[in-house]
Amino acid sequence: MPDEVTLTIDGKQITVPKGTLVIEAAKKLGIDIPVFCYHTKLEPVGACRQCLVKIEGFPKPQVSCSTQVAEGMVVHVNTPEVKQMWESMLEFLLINHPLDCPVCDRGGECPLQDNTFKYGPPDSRFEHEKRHFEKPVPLSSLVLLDRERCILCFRCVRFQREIADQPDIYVANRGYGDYIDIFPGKPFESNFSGNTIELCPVGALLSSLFRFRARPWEITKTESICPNCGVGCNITIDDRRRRYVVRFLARINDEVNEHWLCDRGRFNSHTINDPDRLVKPLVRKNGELQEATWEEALTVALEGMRAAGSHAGGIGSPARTNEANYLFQKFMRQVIGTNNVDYTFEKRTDGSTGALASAIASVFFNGRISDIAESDAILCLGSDISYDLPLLDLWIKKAVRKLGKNLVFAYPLKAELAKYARPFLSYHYGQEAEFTRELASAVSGTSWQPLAGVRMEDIDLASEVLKSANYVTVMVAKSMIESAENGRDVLKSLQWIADSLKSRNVRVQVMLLVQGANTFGAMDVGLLPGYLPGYKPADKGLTGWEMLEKAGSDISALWIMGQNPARDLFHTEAFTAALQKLDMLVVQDHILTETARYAHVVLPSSTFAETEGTFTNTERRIQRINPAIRRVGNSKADTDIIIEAASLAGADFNYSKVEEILTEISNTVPQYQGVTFDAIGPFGRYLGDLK
Amino acid sequence: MIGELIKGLGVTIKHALTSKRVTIEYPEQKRTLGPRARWRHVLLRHEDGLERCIGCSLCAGACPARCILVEAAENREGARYSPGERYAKVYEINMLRCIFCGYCQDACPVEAIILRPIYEISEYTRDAEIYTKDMLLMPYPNPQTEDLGNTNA
Ligand code: SF4
Ligand code: SF4
Ligand code: SF4
Ligand code: SF4
Ligand code: FES
Repeated sequence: MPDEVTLTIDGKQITVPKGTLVIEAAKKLGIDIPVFCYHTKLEPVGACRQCLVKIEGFPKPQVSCSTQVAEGMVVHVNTPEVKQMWESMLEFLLINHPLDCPVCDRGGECPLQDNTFKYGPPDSRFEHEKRHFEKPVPLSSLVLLDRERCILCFRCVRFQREIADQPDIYVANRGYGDYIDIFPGKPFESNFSGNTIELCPVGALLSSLFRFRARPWEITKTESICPNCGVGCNITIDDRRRRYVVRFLARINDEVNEHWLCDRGRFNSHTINDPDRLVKPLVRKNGELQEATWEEALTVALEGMRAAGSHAGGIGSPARTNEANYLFQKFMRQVIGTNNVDYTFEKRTDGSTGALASAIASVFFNGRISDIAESDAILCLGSDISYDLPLLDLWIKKAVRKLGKNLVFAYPLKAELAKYARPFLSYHYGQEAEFTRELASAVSGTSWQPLAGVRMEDIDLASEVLKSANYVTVMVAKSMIESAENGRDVLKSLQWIADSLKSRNVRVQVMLLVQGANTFGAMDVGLLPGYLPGYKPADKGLTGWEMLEKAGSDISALWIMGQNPARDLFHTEAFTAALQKLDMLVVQDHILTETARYAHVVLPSSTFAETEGTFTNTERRIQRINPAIRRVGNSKADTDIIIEAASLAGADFNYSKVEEILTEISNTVPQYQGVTFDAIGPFGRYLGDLK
Repeated sequence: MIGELIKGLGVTIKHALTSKRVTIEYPEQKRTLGPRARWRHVLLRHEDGLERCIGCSLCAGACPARCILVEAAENREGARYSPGERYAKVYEINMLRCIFCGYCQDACPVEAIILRPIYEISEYTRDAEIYTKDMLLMPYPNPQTEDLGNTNA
């Protein structure tokens, strides 16, 4: 085979693809080589010289992380000579290392410590004064740098340059005087800065939130999913004594988040540890919220909700589990007797929800995150991805910058991704339908008039890019379909684009971009007005927006689970006024939110860190979250609260385990067939290909 | 049978009258302990009064009984407890669980914790057996007892 190379490492033969690095070939044979600067996701630079090996024919040792294999190459790793080189390299590194492991956050999980124990010198021969720097200097409010500990592997700088393309940090000076720095007056504000902390092979880059909070041996780790956006990055929740969360780390999942997290997700542990977490149910008595027992609170809540009957409403949450949202809609429909259930209070245009529901039910949205990098052209519509779904921003940057794929980016504002686009299509707000129709016409070769503010030649270029590709990823923001005027037309145009491309033998995958960690799941499990689990049509109900609009008239009681409309970005005043008109407002949340302050009954619930269940992300991958810490005070999981309320009302909600709820979902929702905790596994299960 | 009884009592009486007494009148009288006796822990200070402990939790990591809890914090301008960046904000030992093995003393990189021959550590409640940092830390400036101050452990 011309594309394969056979070489010998430590006397063992191995055949690998051409271009493989020596270190990767050795890894395949199970031969360990210590590294600092090398990382599978970064370009090799050979900065630290730790990975030296002996290759026959070369007079000097070679760095295995940046040397490619060659036919007939003979490599020696486990020889006294190589071991001596590793030891010497470590001795060099340690000359300037402060060795303050006892007070270093990395101590206990530090590659420098580990490699030194394994291959390093037993003692130090260095008798002089070590380098000194100020300890630690803040690079931003989140990232601190201890320059004494830095071993100049440049992983941090390379990550910011190669992966995030936000080169906020750089290497100052040359040679012995090298150090990492920020540009004057410009803090390290990349929204992926936290990854450099995880990449740093020593304790030089530190998280200001985690610093001194725990040593690695005091930490318990729990596999979970980031609840902050629709990507659903795989995380590890690190906690101490099952009592409080100390940090989130990225968990490698090459189909979702690779090795990375964004800063919004990584540094968002404070509400879990909030000292003001609700620990007891509250009931309004004489105008004041007062502590009550669970039974009392639930009885009051039930009475109020049932008195309203079909004039009651329930709003669940795109950040709560499938199980909680499923039970919530079942409870509202069967126990309270109302059709008014929704997962959001966003304003949606008439009929758009129905159109979206049937598109989802017919598996129009079948896109996979990992295929973004496989496709030749990416059409991104209506979302500032870098803000809405940060990790997808990294996937797109990888596709465009590293793999040379084309991005067609359509958004009214010049968002971050606009600079990678060819072309960038800036349509007018409110003219989403016109714009997508123009694009669809261009792709299908129908004549059209420019109405939406985008130049004709740009649209033509975009359609050329799409038509000349073999594989196209179409990503469309849910808001573009649901909130835009004539959002239904957007969907039609999309279907038109997809069909025209397919008729030209272009492979197309379409992805619905949702913002909540479980928006997709909430819709799937029937927390939708007018749709039962699995998008089965039901009697019409009001949307969340309409419920708030009709509060005091058509709606007299509301149960809100895990949402805070009284702090909505755009409608705070209107929503607050609406909430005050209700006869009964039940709020289920973990802190006393602005909304909860107007409630008649407040039910303390668990955060995701205390909860077992599943989330379904924007590509419709179902993933598990697991409880890391103990419940706080008398708070309860959402599912337990609903089960208890239902049984108080005499309904038959018999679930002894969360998994039983999932089983019921998998029996009810066709796309979830056969889904169990085991079937989901640690890395989730993609549901788009299940009918 | 009576004869045997008398014979046995005789032995008892003989010992009672002739052997040396081994019990002492505690607490009026106290036993001298062996030179390597180690009981209650003490957290030491530097000469200038700063705490030696840097809150590194290595003792807690070494402790086989898992009875030490350390929560660290940063020394700040105007609130300096120890030299360097880090100090122990919380330091607790559950004396009921401690087996007085001395591993903590062994693990400490800055010789901050030592076990002293102070064995009077009985209490009436379990909670009182959780020794907190202010109970463990050597008083400053005047160490009350010689035992606490002696660092040649
Ligand atoms: S700060 Fe860390 S990651 Fe960056 S160069 Fe130094 S050692 Fe490497
Ligand atoms: S991209 Fe989304 S899921 Fe991933 S860490 Fe950020 S907020 Fe969390
Ligand atoms: S003496 Fe042993 S058991 Fe007691 S605290 Fe120290 S390490 Fe733990
Ligand atoms: S007593 Fe010693 S080992 Fe324990 S936390 Fe303090 S400095 Fe670290
Ligand atoms: S790992 Fe090869 S030079 Fe750094």
